[in-house]
Amino acid sequence: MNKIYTYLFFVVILFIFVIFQTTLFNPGRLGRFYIDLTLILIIYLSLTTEIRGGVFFAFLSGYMIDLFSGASLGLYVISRLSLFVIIRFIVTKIYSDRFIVHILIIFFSIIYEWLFLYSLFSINFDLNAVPAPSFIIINVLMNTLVGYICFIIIKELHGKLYS
Amino acid sequence: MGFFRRYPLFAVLLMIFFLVQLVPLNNQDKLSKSKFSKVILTLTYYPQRGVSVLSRFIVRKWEKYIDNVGHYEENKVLKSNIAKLREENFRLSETELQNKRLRKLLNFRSEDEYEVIAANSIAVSPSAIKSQVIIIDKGSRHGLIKGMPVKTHEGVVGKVYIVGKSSSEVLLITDSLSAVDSYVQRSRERGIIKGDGSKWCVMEYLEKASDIIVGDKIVTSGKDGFFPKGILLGTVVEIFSTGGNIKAKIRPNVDINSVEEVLVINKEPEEFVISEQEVVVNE
Repeated sequence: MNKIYTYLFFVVILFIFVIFQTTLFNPGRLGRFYIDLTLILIIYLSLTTEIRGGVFFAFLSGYMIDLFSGASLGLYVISRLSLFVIIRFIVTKIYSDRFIVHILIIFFSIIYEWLFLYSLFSINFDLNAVPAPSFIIINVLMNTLVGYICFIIIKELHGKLYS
Repeated sequence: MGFFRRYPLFAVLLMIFFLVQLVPLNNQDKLSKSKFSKVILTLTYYPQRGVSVLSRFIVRKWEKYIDNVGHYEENKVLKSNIAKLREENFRLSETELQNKRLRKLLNFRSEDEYEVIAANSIAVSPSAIKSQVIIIDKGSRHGLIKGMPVKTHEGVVGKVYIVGKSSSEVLLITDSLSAVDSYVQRSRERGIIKGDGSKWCVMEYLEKASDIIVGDKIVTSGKDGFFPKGILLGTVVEIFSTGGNIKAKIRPNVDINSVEEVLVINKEPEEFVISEQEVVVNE
């Protein structure tokens, strides 16, 4: 029963994050300070070992971002799925339940997603759509900071669900 | 195989590399036709609308408060402007009536012949790299279909891309996959306006000898089967040559980032009209 509640909890969180990301925290409104809430959630799920259906959430989050951004099916799906798999792999090699490790994983995950999208766009399109490096650096730092705060909030809520 | 067992991360990265090759960036049909996409669009409609209405309400209240400061002087200027505009409006309505009579005489079709459906933008793209999309609060139950043109009173915004039950996704003219057949209003030089994925558009396929200068207005030609003729697209801000052709950088007339209310032109894309005719012929 707990497992079902956990799944439902993360489905609801994912939907709330998508809604916030498309209405309040979107790049059009916040520019370089925009917050990629769904990416932060996927990083959290890939670090939290008791969540088994993380792959499903990685797929769903990628699909929804693809859908709302008018991108072709697969751009964000592959980016999120691959990120999930890589983090899970790293987590099996290191002791991940530490503040600094969480910060570093969030930081490098956001850089990974930017590099992934950047390389894909440079193959298929000219690079006008890709923001300037200064935009990306500020965005990575902003998301790392907000990401850790989100981690604490989700952990609290998740813990309350279990207790 | 032993190598991949020893280094599973390398295997994963290799797999990702091959998967990336399968992503067709310029083929969006699968996503727009998927029923799952429409379900997600419908599920997120009410929350998106709720958050959008609430945030807009707060922003407007705040702007109203700010606007009240120093209102008196502005009011005086506006009153004199209104008097001038009334006079101009009278002259324009006279000209419009005359224009209508002459158009009727010549059997012209104008964009005014199409009905419009008013809609509000309730959400935008959540991606920084593919950001040229907005979500509007009208869908199939309001009569929207894929490919319908979208504009504001200032000019072209884009066209309907995915239609949900109550909301739809609009691909903006600034998106890298958007293309609109257009004219230079002054010289009638024809070209294709494409989005560059950021805030700008580029007019392509112009010959080197084309009569186009910075400041020229660009309007839709009506020949692409989507947009009616004569809607303002933008203004030329830069001209540069590439090979045997020239290109023009266009600033869209509509401020794409702050668009709130839009009008969907009730015009079926011509490709669909043709297919329906074909069905009738086949029957």
